[in-house]
Amino acid sequence: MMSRRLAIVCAVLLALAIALAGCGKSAEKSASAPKGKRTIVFVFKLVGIPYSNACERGAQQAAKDLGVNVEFTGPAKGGDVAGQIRIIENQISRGVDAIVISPNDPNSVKPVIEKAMKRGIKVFTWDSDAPDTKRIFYVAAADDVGIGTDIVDKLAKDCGGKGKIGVMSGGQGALNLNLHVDGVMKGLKKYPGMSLAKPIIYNNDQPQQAQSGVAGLLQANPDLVGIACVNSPGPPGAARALVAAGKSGKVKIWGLSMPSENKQYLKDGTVNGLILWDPAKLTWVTAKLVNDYLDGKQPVDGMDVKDVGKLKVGKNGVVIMPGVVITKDNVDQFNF
Amino acid sequence: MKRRRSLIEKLVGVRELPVIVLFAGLFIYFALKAPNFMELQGLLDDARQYAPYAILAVGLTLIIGSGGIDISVGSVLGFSTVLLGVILSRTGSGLALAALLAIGAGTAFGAFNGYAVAYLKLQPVVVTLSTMAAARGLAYVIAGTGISSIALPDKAGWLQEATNSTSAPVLLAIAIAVAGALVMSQSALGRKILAIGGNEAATRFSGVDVQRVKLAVYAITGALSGIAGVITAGMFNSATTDAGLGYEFEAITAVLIGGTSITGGEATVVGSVFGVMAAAVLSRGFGLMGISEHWRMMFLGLILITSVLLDRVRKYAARRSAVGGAGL
Repeated sequence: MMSRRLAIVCAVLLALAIALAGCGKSAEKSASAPKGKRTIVFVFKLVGIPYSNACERGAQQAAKDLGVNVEFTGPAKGGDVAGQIRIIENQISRGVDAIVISPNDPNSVKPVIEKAMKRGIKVFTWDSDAPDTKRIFYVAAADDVGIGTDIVDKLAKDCGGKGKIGVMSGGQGALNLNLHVDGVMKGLKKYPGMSLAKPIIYNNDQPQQAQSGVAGLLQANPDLVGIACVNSPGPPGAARALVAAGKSGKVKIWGLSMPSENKQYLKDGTVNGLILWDPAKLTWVTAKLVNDYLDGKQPVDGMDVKDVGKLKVGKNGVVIMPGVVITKDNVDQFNF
Repeated sequence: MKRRRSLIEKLVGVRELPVIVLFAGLFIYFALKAPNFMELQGLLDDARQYAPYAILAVGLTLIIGSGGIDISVGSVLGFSTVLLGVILSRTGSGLALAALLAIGAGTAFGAFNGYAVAYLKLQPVVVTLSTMAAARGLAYVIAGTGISSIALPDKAGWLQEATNSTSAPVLLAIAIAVAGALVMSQSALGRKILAIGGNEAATRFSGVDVQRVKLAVYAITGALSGIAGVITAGMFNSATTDAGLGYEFEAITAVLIGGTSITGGEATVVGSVFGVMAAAVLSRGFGLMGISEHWRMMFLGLILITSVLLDRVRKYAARRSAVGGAGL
């Protein structure tokens, strides 16, 4: 009676599927037609990774602080351009008040953004922009070039404005990282006593390559005084290489990274400091700006937002949130 | 006792019945439960978004019916999309020539898959796994270092208009599905495909050029992936290196939910189209109810395994009635 047994298994699976769908609904708290209360929906590149979870926390906090519905969604897998478009189209069908997008592909969201705007839904971007569209404004985590110059300024201060520094990036193709490196080069020009140790190290976002790259750089440049790291595996990888070479504290490290990965190195002085942004705060401030916009208030250059700092409003509707500087003195305040 | 069993067997014997029930059930459920589900423009937009999946599913129905599998369809789609963008943005070529070359490239990948499976006797899953990686890699290479999205120039305006503002992708998908259904049910090629899927050795002994038929089904699927790639470029307004990423899962799932047997020999294009529609309805319904994509993936997986089990039940039932109820 194989077939009967299989039929029973099928029935059980179907029942399970229906039951789970039921759970899904209650767990996610069914988002019914947004009537009455204002609804702002954030559509990220994908959900479920630590970065997007942090953004989601910011959205939830904003819902509490602003007293409006703030939802957070996105495709379940990375690089899902079509999935993200479908999700945005669903929000148009629901008739929400505002959609805030961090696009997987800046070009592909153009038609759907136009469609939403035509239907009276206000569209914004945050985290990543779609500059060639009708989006109202873009809230950026940081000024891509500015991060690079900030890192050099910090290094120059710690090195007394002279000596040879190395630069470490991630992938050679990543646009934002290349802009950070451009910023480092731009920053270096301000300090005539400082020079660049060649070549630029690319760690391909691999902690191991970050460490071995710096080890090689140290051997080739015994007179190195500092390392500027523009992606997150950089500072801890460089720190491991310095510890192994016995140069901890002698060569200064500043870079873009997560506090949790660098806590011990910040405390023992191997890493001098980090510059970064808090994705939760970025999402929170975006929700606030969007909510203000729906109330008829535009973001203004230099406006001071509590717990965030002064916002810069540049051309093409780009709003830049100030970065956070993390050193051994304040690293314990950050939980990511 | 005997009569009741034959009634069940008759119902179970209708290949498309489960998927039609699934589609109708989901549609009615979401129409009642999901806010704004029946909004016409939204339904049309979702249908448009799923047209490339349907086109891939038609090709995969032929391949799976013949006892093979192709997991490279998403990557081949992606390569065609990027090739179209590269040609349009970096050469003087017009839209028609670029589209033709993109579809030609898809066909070439498909023909390679078919050649390796039919003539080199390699495992379909291994061959198409290789193509899956190679086509995606090549897409990145031709796009150029650091470029993940190429905006389509103005000369592709017609394509963008047709794919974003009209139901042309849906109509094209329907036309391809009708053609696929006719091939499977009316043509000699369709009969040969199913014969190979059913019993390859016997089919070879009966004088069918099995290798040529296999080459043909993979090449056709490659061409369809190319067509889907051109549509995707228009719909995305750009050639992105991530185009088609993961589409193989949804397309293969649609084919298997639709009633085509994973072991080959039995296939239904109509069922595959209903499979795609069921996936589309699920996506829209869950999206409108605010249920996360993770739940949708899990739900699709459950439906998939249930469908494969149902296929098994159907086979046992058929075998039992064929041998007079001796069965297992």
